Amino acid sequence: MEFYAVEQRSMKAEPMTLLTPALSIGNVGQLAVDLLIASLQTHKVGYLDDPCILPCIGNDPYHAVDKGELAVALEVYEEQDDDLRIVQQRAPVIKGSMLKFSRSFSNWANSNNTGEVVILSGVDSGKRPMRDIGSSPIRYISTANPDGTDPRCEALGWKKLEDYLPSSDAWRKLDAQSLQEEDEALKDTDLQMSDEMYYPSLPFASLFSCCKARGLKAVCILLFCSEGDNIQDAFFLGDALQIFRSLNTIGSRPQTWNVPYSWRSVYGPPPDPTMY
Amino acid sequence: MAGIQDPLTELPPPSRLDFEELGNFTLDASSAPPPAFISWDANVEFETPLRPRLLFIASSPSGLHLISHLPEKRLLGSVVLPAEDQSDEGSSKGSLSDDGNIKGRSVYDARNPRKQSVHTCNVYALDGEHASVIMVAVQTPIAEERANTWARAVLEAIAADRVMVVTMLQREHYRGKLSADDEVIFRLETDALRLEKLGKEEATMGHDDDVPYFPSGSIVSGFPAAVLTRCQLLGLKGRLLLSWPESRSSAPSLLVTILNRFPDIQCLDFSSSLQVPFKGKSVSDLEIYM
Repeated sequence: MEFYAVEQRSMKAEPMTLLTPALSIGNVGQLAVDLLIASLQTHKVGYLDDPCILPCIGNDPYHAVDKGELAVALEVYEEQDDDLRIVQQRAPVIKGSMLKFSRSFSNWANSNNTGEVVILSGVDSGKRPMRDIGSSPIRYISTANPDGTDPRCEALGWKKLEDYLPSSDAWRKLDAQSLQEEDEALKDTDLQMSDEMYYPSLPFASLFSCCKARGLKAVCILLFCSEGDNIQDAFFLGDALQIFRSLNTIGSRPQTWNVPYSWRSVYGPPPDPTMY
Repeated sequence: MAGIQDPLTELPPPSRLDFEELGNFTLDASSAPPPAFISWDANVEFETPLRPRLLFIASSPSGLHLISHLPEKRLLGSVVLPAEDQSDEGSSKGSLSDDGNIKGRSVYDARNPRKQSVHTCNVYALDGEHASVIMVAVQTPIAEERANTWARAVLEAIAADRVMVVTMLQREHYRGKLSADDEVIFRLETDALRLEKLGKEEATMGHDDDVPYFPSGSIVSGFPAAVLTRCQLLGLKGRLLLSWPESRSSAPSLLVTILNRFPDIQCLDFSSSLQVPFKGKSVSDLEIYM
């Protein structure tokens, strides 16, 4: 994974919190990251080039004034007056490349003054235990403790993802692969898809495991959601992130959101009125 | 009323994500695909990388029409994209989308299942010995997964001052309304090209302000995206034109009119190509609302 700086800009040298979405149901992590980029005082510092990412471009997704600023698949932003660095991913990875991408990403993060990685993702609400309906839809896992718990998240009333069992076969296999630099070992492994495999097979899990394997502090903030209109889920996840970040600062972080301009058409054009 | 679908309810577009493909334990069983390369004709005497003034890449029907009927072009070679996995045709099938990209693995051409899976695009020079303009005709689809290697090979072998890509708008990625009756051409540009215009006098800027930028919220994928991304990363002056619907015989003429609005492209003379009749691609209304 290679970084290309925007002209006359460079990444900050001090330790940064690196925020990234994981591809997920409802694209919730990506929507939340778009919301944060549009709402915080951020500026683009560069691009990431990785052979695992499918190519994707578009016009500026954030501003109504059409200057035609090009957006590409993997971009890096920084908050101007704070220690937040944001990666936005707009395209999927090539089939079978998720682990390879996660290794590249965590290697890049590890080489670029990253203090902590925060991964935003949705998880399928269909997998949520029935007994939990009515409680907060936020879950987390963290490198703070071996069992995945984190006192910061517990203080916010969040629950650790119940299915995060580091000693289970699936999570151990993922951790083993995250330590490797190639996929060869898994070619000999006969993994049968089962319920136990569900969470470890998701993109957030490989990003988390690869960061953990490289000694990076990491926390995943997960939101139970369904496929559909996920804009409200993005606000919810964005709020959760800001609350989490406010633990490290005096006073709460501003919660005023600017909706990205591109969200006007995120679900396609309005229906043709002539059919009514 | 239960079970009766509401025809007025518009479902959101399906997720772009296929979780079978994204799964951490889904491995690409084949070895790393061979990279793309350019095979130069034996008569080519230029030094490589070539350094033309303009690299013009076309995959839209009108763009290909303009290139194919240029009388003075000279074939220099081909961009070759080797097959990903020649031993396993069964796993290399993809589905062809209307924008000319193959969704799925490999360069397998679903329209010609028995054909060898090597993808080639011809590379031409204009201006005779000077080769100040290089043209690449992308006549058959390039698999999305191979688009990055294709773009890298082309831009490493042809280091142009400016890059122009003309392609058809990909309607599955377009979030606005499309009409089969209204012809439209959008543009996307790299920062290097956009910012260059800011430093120029008004008289030399051309009339490109009336070529609208591609609407925010819609995206482009495949090799056009790969080329423009590479241009953006490398600080090159690149421009992408997206045309729709290319169903009229006037489509090449419209494209030439638009091209002439950019001062850096006005050197190209397509008058010969415009004299050849063009058969547009039909677009049914049903397809528009899919």
